[in-house]
Amino acid sequence: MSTTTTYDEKKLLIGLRSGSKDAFSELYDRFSGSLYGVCLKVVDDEAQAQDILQESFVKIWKKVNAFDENKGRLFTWMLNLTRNTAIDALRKNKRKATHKIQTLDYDVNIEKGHQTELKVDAIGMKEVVDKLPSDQKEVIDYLYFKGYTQKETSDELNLPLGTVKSRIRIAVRNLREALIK
Amino acid sequence: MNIKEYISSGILEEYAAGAVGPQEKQEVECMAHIYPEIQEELDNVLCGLEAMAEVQSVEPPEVLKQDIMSAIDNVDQDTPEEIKEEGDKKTVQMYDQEPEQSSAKNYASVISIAALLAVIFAGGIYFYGELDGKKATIAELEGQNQELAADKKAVSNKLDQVKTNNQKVQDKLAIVQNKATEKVRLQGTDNQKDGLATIYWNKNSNKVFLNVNKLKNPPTKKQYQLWALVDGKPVDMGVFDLPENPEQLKRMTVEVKNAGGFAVTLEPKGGSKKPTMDQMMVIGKV
Repeated sequence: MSTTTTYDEKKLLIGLRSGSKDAFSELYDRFSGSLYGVCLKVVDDEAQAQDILQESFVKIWKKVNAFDENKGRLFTWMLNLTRNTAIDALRKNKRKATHKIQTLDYDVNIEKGHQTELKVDAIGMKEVVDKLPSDQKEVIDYLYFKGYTQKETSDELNLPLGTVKSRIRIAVRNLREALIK
Repeated sequence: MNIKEYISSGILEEYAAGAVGPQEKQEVECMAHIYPEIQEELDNVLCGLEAMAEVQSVEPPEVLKQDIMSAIDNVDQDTPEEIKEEGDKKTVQMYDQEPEQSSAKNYASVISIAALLAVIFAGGIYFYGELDGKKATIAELEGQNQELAADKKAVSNKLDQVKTNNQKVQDKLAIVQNKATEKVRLQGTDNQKDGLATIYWNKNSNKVFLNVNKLKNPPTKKQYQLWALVDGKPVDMGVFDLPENPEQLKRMTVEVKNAGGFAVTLEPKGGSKKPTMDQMMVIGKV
């Protein structure tokens, strides 16, 4: 599975928007792995992750007309939708926790057109991710996947705020450099 | 402004990871909106994170697919109209919240960017309600006891004022609720951290309305000036004074199309041809 140009996103979208279950089935086959991986990173519990995956895919089906291809890629939209659904579930779990939940609305699409043809070297990326220092993976987990703020992450991991900040920059930078330009 | 410096500062990476507060979030989106190079780099950074999500994929159990395929049998897809309605509602809700308190964030980068960048201000036009002329009752009363006449005069003025304010509120409501109106929040810079203004921009008529939520009194000899950012250039939207009533909407005499953002600077009385960048008070993007 990858987001390289070997699949026709336009065609898939047309199918999805016209309510084609075949198109939806193809979407699921192509992306459920990535999205399930994300759910697991957020909630750490298989049963809950499966619920979240189901909820996300149903939302994707329901809200497909909210996706604007001028604002980015389909995978980006689905990833953020799934991530937010998972983070909401995580927050419900922690309803009694003491730390504040960040209130940023990350459902808002990032504006402007994106390149629709992203070349991702999956193998190269996998290597980079595997080699990523665990402390960098950790901050990505907390900030990106679990939706913690920098302050919450610093509290949770017992790290100075400055360390969290510099670490996330380096971590994300490393991922970005792994892309083919 | 130094784009390379901005990009290597790491702020895009923090933004992509969701690690920034609301003010920085808006700043990054503003910069990306204005500078294509920043947008491109931001796209790449985001792709990096997504690629990570991709390579860490885990196959879900097969039975889940069947569950999901049957679940969507009972779910109708939202139509584009329904989605737009929901989006509008959400926008109104977001905007109805109390303005967030500015944290001690450094807006020097924004200001230096704005030095190359035109800041766009949307203006509004103050509604000068027409006070109804005094009615005949006032004239009658003036013939009576002087003290009583004076009291009644005061009460009548108050009533007219209330009617005027009510009309202003109705007018403001009409503008704010108009579907063609785009609402743009202008947040405070380092010059005034709690500064806040709101632009209502009617995209059909190109009319611009300014609501000053919070701006400090300008020093004597200085005046606030509104700017609109059109195609990367600042467009003078006119000078304005602080309204007596913070609820007032000022309709600016200049109309604007294709605004990317708006800002207010403090200028010498009468205004300037070009904005004084280090005197920017509030800024926001469309």
